[in-house]
Amino acid sequence: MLALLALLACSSTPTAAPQPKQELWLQRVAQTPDAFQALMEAPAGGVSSRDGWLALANGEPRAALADFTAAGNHLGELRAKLDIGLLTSDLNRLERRIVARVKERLAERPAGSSAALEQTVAVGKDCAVALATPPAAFAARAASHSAPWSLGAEPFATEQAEDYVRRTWDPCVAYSLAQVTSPDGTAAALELQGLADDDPLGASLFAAWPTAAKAASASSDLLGAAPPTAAADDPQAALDHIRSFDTALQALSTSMDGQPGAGLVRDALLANRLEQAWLLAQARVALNANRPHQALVYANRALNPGAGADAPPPPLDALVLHADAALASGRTREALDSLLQLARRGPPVATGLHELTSDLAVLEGLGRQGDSRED
Amino acid sequence: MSRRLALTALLAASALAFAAPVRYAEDRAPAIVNPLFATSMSEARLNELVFEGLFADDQDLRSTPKLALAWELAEDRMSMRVRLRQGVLWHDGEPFTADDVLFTINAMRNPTTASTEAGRVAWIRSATKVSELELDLTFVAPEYSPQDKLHFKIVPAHAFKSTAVSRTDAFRTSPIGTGPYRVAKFNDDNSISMDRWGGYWGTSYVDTFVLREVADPNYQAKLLSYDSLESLVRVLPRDLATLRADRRVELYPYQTNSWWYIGFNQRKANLQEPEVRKALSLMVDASSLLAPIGTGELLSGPFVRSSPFYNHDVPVSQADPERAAALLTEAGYQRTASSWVRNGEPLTLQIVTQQNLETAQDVVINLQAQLQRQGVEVKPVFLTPADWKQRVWREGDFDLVLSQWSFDRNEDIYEQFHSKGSRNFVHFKEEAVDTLLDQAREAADPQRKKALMRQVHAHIAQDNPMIFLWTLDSYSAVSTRIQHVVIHPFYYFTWANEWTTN
Repeated sequence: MLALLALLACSSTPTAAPQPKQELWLQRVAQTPDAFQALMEAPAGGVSSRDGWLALANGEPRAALADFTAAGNHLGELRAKLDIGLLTSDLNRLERRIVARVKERLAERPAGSSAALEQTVAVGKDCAVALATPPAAFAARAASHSAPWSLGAEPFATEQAEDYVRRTWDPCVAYSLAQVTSPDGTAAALELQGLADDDPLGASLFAAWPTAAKAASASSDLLGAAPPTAAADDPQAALDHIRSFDTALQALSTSMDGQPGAGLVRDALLANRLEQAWLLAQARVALNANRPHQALVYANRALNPGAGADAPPPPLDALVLHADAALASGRTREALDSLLQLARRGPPVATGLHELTSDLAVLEGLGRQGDSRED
Repeated sequence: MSRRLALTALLAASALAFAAPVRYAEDRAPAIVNPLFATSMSEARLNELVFEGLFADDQDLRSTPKLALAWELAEDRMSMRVRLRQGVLWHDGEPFTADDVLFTINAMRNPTTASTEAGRVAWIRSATKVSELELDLTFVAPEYSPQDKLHFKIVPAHAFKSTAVSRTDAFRTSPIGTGPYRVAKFNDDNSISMDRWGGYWGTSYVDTFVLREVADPNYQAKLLSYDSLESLVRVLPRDLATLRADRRVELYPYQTNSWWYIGFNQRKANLQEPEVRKALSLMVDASSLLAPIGTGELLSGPFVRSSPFYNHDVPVSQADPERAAALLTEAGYQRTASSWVRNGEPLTLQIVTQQNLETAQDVVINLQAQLQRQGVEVKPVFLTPADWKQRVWREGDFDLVLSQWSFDRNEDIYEQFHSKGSRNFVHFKEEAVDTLLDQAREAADPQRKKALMRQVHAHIAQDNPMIFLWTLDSYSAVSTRIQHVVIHPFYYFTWANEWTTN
């Protein structure tokens, strides 16, 4: 997975002019809507790929992979595998952060006050070691390391305590997932770059990069919106970055007026989709650069406030990145807002991550005095 | 230089600063400004600008010293010594000392004061002055991070005659804090102007904050769009899309874990009867009440759904008029052509809500229609903020109350539902809930605390002290002319001294 992350995390030098240096998928759709329609339907005259593309656009890459596989759409499968690799990498980073935070907070409390969390930390502090030489309670789970998608919905140990049931949640499910999906994701990224010349639209549709061949830019210079350059984790710099991007995207949208696919771009809210993908890419970059407050700005915007009840729910990676950014900036309680949605929709791993984070939120509040007011 | 001259110089320096006010809208202006009696979010937000605690949250939500400078926790964790920041001045130029901290703690404790903040110092056994800038605190039980409990606002001892403080003390209209902004004027239009305090020990950039009372949230959004406001504390869900599209406005999440409710006053004989409370609950269609306000999540208990304490096994109550009728019949009521009657008296309820809260007024009117269709007469009463404090908080003079609670990240409902709780104005009393809340406060294992609080949720849902309604997605909107805005998830203005105007 490191290779994939490295591939996607590096950024090129920002340019001053807010113009795309590469033709974006958005422009291709505006210019040749027929190509978009053909892509969405049946590339080989077989089963429609529409559901796969919609799932990809909505940030549901596992569903997309199933749909593309059913449609026999190899390029779609590659796109889905790449997104799965990114999602599980994000989940793994989040899981590692939760474990680290629990460990840090437990150190401030009397030893023995939380047996389940102490066991979680003992296992999760080094998943590679725990899976290679698992402690007794973790042995059965460790055996499932190679097929982890179904893991995480149940604790790996439960015990009746005095007046409650103590549940120990698996702190290495996302780690296992990332281990399994990483090679596929990295291979998909490389193969996609090779296919970009043959099918530039399919290789980049709905993505945050101009073309698959330019995936390495991680979209930081997409539309020429200069990313924050200061080392400080300044949220205002992230807001300015977003505004710069918005301005450029608005100009781009205006420039596409009159093109045959302009109506399609507008009606299908494709510019919004491009912006959301871009925001998520920025959140990922900021998290990897240890700028959590900036990541939170990008992730908050990617959750699409004000989109209305009819809008699709946030992509899964938006929920993961928001939770991670919130947690990294001390907002454990806010992370739960996203994790609850993820647990309702996402892979089983989300259930355990949600429970662990809610334990952490309570743990952090044990020494505090609650405040409440009428509103 | 004398203290008075120094103060004059500071005020002059403050007045020379460029005047670019940040005007923010609240549904209602605080009735009084005194942290000892703050009960509303609008008061809490204003207090954040004017007053300070010994500690406050930094932007990673860790306790950081404010009026404190350093602290030392004893090895047995039963006491601490706090060293105070030197050179801090009250807004009248007097120096801040340990006497002020001691006074605040003692005023909160004083039963004559009847401070709504009394619970926040209950864990302190004693407070003793060591020197002008040092004090010792001892605790009732071992504390692991007492600094996390020392966020309450400090008030000046010299501004009061004794620790028995009255709500009507002159301080309420001439408050004195140590915060970055001082109350400059209560204006005729009910707005409050707060100017940058030139003697502030830290830094601040915005020259003036103005709290504007704007009761109609629809109007608030328009004012922001027309540059007549710089900040809208809460955006109605239905306005989110419009404001999001406005490039001159930035949206910030402001989730305060808040929920709406209709409370039953259990000092009223008929509302002490569980069947009557349950019947009334079953007459209410919360979805229909919510629809005019916007989208939100219906709730089954006293937590928002993403809370660690929310019990997802407790279903949201659904309107069931037939069962409601059966329960009222069981309670001895008879249905006549127009109403439910017992002992010759029709079932008539007075519901109180805030006068300056348009959305609440809409809900009350719709609720009145719902209940009246089912034979329950409802008399709405819209109270001014001052009357609200008097009738709801002090006298308990109501049948039903429509309001909303906001909680910080600890979501501690002890004060609302424990029989000794300082915010339990519906007078709910249930021994099992008291026991569970006491146990939860003592729980050292977070999983045990979660389990206990989820039991509390189930008990409360069963006992119906309130009809739990909904939580709304909550965002704040701020003009892009204001920069470096970071909003505290509960107190909002905690880091307002870092805001700048463009």
